[in-house]
Amino acid sequence: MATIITSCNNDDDDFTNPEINSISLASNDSAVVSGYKQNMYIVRGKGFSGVQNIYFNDVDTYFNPTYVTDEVIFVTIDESTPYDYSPESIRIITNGGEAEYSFDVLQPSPTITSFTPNVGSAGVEVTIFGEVFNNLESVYFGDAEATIVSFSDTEIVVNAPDIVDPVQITVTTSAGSVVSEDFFGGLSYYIYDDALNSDWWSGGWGETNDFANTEHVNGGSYALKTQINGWSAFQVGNGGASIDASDYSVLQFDVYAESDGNILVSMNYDYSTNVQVMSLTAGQWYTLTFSLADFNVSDIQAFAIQEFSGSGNTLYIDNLGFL
Amino acid sequence: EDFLERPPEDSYSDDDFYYTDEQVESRITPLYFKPWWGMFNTPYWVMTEIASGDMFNYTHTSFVQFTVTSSNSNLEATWGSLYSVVAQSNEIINNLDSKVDAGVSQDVINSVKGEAYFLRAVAYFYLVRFWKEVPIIENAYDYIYAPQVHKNFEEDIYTFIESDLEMAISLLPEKTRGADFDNNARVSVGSAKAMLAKVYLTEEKYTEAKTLAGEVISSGEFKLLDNYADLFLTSNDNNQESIFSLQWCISTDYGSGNQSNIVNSAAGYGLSNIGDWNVFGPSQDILDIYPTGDEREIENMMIPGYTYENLYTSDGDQFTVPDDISAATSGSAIKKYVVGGQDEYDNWGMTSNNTYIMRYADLLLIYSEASMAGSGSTTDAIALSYFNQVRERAGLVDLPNLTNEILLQERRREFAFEGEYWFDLQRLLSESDLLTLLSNQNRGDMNYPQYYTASAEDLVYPIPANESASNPLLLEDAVAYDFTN
Amino acid sequence: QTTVEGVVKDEANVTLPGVTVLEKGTNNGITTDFDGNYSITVKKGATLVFSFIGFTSQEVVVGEQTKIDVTLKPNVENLDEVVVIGYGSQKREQVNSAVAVVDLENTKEQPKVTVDQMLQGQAAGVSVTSDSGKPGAAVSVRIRGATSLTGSNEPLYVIDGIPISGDARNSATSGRPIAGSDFTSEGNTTVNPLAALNPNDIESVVVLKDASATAIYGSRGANGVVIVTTKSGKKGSGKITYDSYLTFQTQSKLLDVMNLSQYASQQNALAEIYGLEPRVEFTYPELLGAGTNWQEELFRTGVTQNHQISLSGRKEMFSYYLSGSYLKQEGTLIGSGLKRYTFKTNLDSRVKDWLRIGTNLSVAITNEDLVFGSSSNGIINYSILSAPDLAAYAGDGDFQAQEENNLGINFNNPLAMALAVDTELVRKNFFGNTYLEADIIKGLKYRFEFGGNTEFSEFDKYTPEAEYLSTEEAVYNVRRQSWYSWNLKNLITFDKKIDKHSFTLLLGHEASESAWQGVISQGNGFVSDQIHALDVADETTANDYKGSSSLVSFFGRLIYDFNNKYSLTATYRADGSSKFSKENRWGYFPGISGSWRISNESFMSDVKLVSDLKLRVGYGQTGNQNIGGYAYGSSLYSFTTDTGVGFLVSNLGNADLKWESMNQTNIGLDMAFLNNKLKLTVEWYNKVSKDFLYTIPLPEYLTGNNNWEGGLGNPTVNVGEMKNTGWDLSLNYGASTEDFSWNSTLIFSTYKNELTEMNEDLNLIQTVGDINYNDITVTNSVVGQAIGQFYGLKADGLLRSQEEVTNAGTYFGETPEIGDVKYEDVNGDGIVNEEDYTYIGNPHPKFTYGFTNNFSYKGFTLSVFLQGSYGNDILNLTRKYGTRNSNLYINQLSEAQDFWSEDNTDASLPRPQLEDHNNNRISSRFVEDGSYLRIQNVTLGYNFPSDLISKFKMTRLRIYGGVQNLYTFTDYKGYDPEVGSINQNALLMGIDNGRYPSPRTYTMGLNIEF
Ligand SMILES: [Ca+2]
Ligand SMILES: [Ca+2]
Repeated sequence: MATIITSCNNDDDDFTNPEINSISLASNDSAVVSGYKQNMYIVRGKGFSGVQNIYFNDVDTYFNPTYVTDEVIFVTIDESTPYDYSPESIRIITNGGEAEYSFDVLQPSPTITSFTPNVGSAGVEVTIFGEVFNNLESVYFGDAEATIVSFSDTEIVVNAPDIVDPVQITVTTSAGSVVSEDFFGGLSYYIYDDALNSDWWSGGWGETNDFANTEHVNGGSYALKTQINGWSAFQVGNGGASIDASDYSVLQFDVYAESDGNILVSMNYDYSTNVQVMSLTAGQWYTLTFSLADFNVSDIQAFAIQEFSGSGNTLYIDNLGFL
Repeated sequence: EDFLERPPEDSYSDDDFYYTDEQVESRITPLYFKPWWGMFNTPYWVMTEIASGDMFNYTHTSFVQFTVTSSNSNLEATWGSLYSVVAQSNEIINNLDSKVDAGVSQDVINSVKGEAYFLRAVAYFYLVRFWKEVPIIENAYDYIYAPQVHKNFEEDIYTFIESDLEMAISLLPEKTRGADFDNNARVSVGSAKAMLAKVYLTEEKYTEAKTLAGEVISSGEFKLLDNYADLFLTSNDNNQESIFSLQWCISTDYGSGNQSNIVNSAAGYGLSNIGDWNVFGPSQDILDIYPTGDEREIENMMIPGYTYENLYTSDGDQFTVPDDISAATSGSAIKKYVVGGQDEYDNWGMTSNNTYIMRYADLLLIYSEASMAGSGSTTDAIALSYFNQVRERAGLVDLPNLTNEILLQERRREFAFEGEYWFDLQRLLSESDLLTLLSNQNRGDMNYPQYYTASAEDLVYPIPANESASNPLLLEDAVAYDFTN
Repeated sequence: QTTVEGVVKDEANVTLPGVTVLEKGTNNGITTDFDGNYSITVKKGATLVFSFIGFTSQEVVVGEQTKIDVTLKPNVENLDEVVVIGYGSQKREQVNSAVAVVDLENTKEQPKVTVDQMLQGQAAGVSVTSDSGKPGAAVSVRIRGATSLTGSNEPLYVIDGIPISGDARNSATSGRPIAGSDFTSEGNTTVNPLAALNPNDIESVVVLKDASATAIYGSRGANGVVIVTTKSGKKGSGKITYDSYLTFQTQSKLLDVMNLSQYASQQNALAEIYGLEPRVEFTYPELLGAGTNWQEELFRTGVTQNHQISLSGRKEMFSYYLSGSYLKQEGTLIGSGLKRYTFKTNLDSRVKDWLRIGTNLSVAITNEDLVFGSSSNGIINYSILSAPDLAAYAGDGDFQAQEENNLGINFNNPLAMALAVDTELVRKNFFGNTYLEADIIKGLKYRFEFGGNTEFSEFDKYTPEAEYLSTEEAVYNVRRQSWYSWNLKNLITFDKKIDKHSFTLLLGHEASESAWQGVISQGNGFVSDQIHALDVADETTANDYKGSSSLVSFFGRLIYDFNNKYSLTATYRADGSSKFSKENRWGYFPGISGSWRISNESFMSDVKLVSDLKLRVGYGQTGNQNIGGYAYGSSLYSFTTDTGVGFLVSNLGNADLKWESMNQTNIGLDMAFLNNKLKLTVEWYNKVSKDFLYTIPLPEYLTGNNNWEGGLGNPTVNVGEMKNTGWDLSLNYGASTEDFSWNSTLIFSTYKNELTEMNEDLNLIQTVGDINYNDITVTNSVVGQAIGQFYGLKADGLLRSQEEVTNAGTYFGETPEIGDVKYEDVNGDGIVNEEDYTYIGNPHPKFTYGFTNNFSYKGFTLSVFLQGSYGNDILNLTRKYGTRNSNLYINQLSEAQDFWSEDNTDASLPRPQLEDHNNNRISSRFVEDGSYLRIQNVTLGYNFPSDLISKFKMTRLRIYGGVQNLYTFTDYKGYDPEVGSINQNALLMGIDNGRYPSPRTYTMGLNIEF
């Protein structure tokens, strides 16, 4: 009994030859001549009752027998189906015969999951991870094309071009293009760009902070705004794993002051010895760069900006981090 | 007349049993896991971790969406489980002295009774934190013909818990936690003091909490295990960090083991021996709480591409987290208490991996929290050093000061999926801050961010419907407990 | 004076021993000896009266003859003149209690597999419902309503003197099922304790209904007693009988569920409401076919065949009856079936004039293919809920598994549950009884009986490793159980007649013991499914259980009759039971009844219309001790731990435990009119049971969980009082001409059940496991009401306007929306919550009835049997699951399409919500009228004329054909309104949680005698 396929109610001697007339995408029933793996298609024709096997490019493809009527089959192209194949076809075998129909299984668009490293100078070797990099055509860092060193279906190695500002990476294969979510370039370690690094805590004294300020922004959507009383300080600290200062050479940030005044930049709770004092003029962005060596720290614990005029100030800070 | 005398032929009678030390001790060992199973096989996570926004799934959406009703089966399972502990502890506390034979040593009797007091206190501690007001039952025989009782006041339940733990402290043996892990399985005076410190902390009795926690810490009975990852290996059950853990075992009795390996992790990768149910996944909210370099992250959640040194599939392959891992459509999966397919398991896929109810890291943080004494911050050097001990083990830098927020965050990272966060939130945040936090959590899956508004009623669970149906007095106001009877 | 002698024979020229020969008008009389000879000295001209049970008395005037041979003619009307009662028999006309004799002729040509099924509709006050339609299923028999609250309410069956409990739950012995696991999640798993007895071997069935009759059974008689006597050798030359029937059983009703195309549309609509992604394959539902119709896959036409050969006869001082039978029944649910082999031997012998011995032995082997279909997650519910896009079979011919989905909904393939899981129960039952009966002096008899009963059962369940069963490992479950019981009786009977006074005194002693033991074992992990044996399993575990119980009794009975006018019966019994502690061990059970035969009074002799009139009054007390052993103490439950075996307390013991008792008053009036053509019996009874042996479901704050989960088992206590007051009515009319006869019997029963006392703190709430494995409250029983009433919210349509929503307040703390079910705020506090749960239906019928009609014309016979119930409600959980609309990937009944939405505001069902929601709480929405009238049987038969068949040496050739369960008139929307009780539980009556429906049966039969 168990060998009788229940969806088949035909008399055993009344088989008809199957015939495929059209294929369409199941989600919108638009007629197609080609398709992608893991998408569901509607196959139309006749004589499908008693279907035994469905092949896309000779891959025996699972189908749900309840999605079969005499004239319609719903079937999903199996993940293992090759897309470079000859001849590209769908074949349906029923107990009454076999039908074949030309159908292209296409290469899926590429996707990027990550790349490493995410910062570096021209020529650095960058590995891009993702999927379906077959038939790779090009890799761009922003507008600059990178040199492809090697690639597989899931990994590309390139030499980075020379870039100034952080850029996204674009991978193009014969099946299309994809742009990375993350940026390459800029600072090697961000404390703040559009949000405080989640590893870091904030805790100064006599200040009020807004980490999602939009009044004055220097790149991205937000800058941080800190209103500091006289001699008080904005301070953030590392709450994560220890950061070795020797991995970086430079502390850098962009700052914009509402009033003229001095600030004292310090690290690791040392507010008096190894410190840097700067004068700021109101209404303009500065990019400040300090050699880490000047702070004389071995690991990076905290960073503070103290108002050093005594009159208080409102500062906007962006792109804070290390190079 | 002998013809009409038919005592049980396939079990012992309670009236004819207590003749040797071994027999008396055999009465306490199942109390370390069996009655707890009803709660810890699943409902515990639902009521703490899904509710707090640490875990997510589509099976328990009412906890995700703050629409839990009294007929929810998780409530009854937990309620019944905790009261099983109470009922069995009561049997020992009330009857052991009168039934025991003269030949049994007094130390054994004291220890077993002390353990029963301890376990009863822990059960009530959960009850009072989940339901706030519940009936205190000391002897079920008093209620056989009149089972309807009122709930008792929250403060009376705490008084009762304190008194049970004090009894436990007076009866339990002293211990030093050493390398003989088996010897650490049963609780000691230190366990009872540590638990009492936590009770005090919850009661906002900060001085008592700090004193007691400090006493246990300086006694040196417990120590942090060097490596966070080692805490959750079956081979390290009852290590020196364990203050009290449930003693799951491999048994042919259904409901004796730890079910984490099946209900957590992710389905379809052979991490359990009988199939993964994929019940729980991490919430979207908890996915990015770990700073870079925090060694706990990978021990609590699975990150695609990572290869675990100690985790094998049932086929014997070392486990590398697949790219498409997505327990409960989370894009990740839970790792804590997932021990893989090569661990020993029972017929239902449960392992003997113990569940911590309290470990030393908790005690250190209790001291730190008590030092803040409700003020929201402290710079107490000892409190900070205890706090930073926990951070250091996780591979994080020391912090210079301590606030409620920082402590809450650290506890969430340390005890993720251990059921603490729900209680931590209620202890460390004001009700309005807590409701704001819950209402702003992403409580959806990786594809659909979802937000739900919590209200004050969602912080206390309703009495299980079947219980209030059999005793409508449970729906009435609580009364004072008569401590004199 | 003259001495007359002679031989008494029947029409077949067989001599008749034991015929009473009496000189009319005197006490002078004797009985015929073994060869039918008699010799008596009488006055000349006297009249001799020859009387013998079953024959018409004959009077012969003694003239000059000294030899008078007599041929007695059988008297069909008086055949059942003698009725077996407990430990003896009594003339029917002298019976004072409520005793019903079941006319087996009425059911003989219906393919009844067990004796309890034969009682349905045949005796007033006896209600019989099948708990399941599966072959060999347990049957709930209630004599005059439920007596006990949670104990067994099944009567005691006494089969040839051997007591057999009708309790399929084995609550008085091991407390464990013989099939399935010890847990109840498998649903209705009980099997029929009487399945070993072939109904064809039964000679007579008598039901003792009231306590004055059952008091002689003392502690075991509270639920009534059914006395079954099997066939024995009949006088006459040897007889060979062959009986056979063939039946075809079909599912009598299919429910209307959605096909694939409808299902796809519904899934799309629900997904949109839940805010979930629609399924791509359902974008164009109209392109899809019908999908799988699970009811058609799961139900089939079941074929049954039954063959029996019997030999019987009586020769000289020796009579014998031998029979063998074979039954093979296929259930209508695919994968279920029953095979049975029975052998029966009854031998009686008169060794001496004063000494009789006899023995009977029954052997039965049954082999059942079980399908545990009747739970929330059983096959019957799955026949509705399994998705139509799950194919029964995959392309490769193996069963199909449900595709994975993001909600984690996974239904096992129900066809695979029925076919791939191999579940078998073999029972080997042996029971027998030996007696010795001696006449000590005239009128004084001593009887010794020793009976034994034993059964070996083998339960095997093999579940293969398969995705379609969600199993990761093959599991083989085994239960090997055996039990035995023995029963020893010493009886002394003394008969004395003085003038018009006659006395029968019985004194007796009885002892019995039952012992049981069982082993449950499980094997896990098999390399292939070929061999089902523990030895080839990767891992094996085993548990065992054993126990025993005993009972010692002393009893006496006096029957007194005066001149066939006044009669009195008094009984008394003392029972000592192992179920109670020493202090409460003995119970005492008195009974008394009397009757007045008014029609024998002289003042009635002129009333020609009335041919018989008798008034009966009786009162008695019986008991119940149907509980497990050692409930008066606490035992310890063992668990494996990391450091050796450990123990928790298993239960709360109760040292004060004592008997549950039942008192019953019975008043009956027997009437006959028109020369006995029309007979009417009316009985009224009042039955009060109290001190129920009740395992109180204490709240969990006292006990915690179940004991296997580490909590404490509930204590058994004595509480409460319940009353059943009712009327039994039986009306019979018979008429005949030479060629034509007609006989109709109407049975009518009604009772009112009321819980009259209960400890006010206790509740009798009952739960069942629902489709999500949650225990949901379904019934409650309180003082002043009938027990087991459905308990839930009162639904009043839907909230269809904002105004109604505003007025609704909150429902369990949530604000309802338009389209939600509108619930009644019963206590009027403005909100709806647990406190508004109330009684929403009554499972007790207002009355039940059976109407039997037999017609014969020449060789043809026609019998028509109607049976029904009126005024009872059913809680249709199957329909609740089938209309929930609370999840995806689950099929629903077609009516589930009519749910509330903006576009369908006059819908019958509420707006769908994901997961369980207030809308789907137990409410009056799911309570339906369970009244029905069923054409239970229509059978047409033909007896071939004897001159034709005698050429083939046959004495009888009969063929018949009929239909059972032909049609049911009912408004009930489920499969079958005959729902019964879940596992015989009196508090879980009328709950349809996926009950295996009773099939329609087409029967053809043949009956040959040589
Ligand atoms: Ca920015
Ligand atoms: Ca109300």
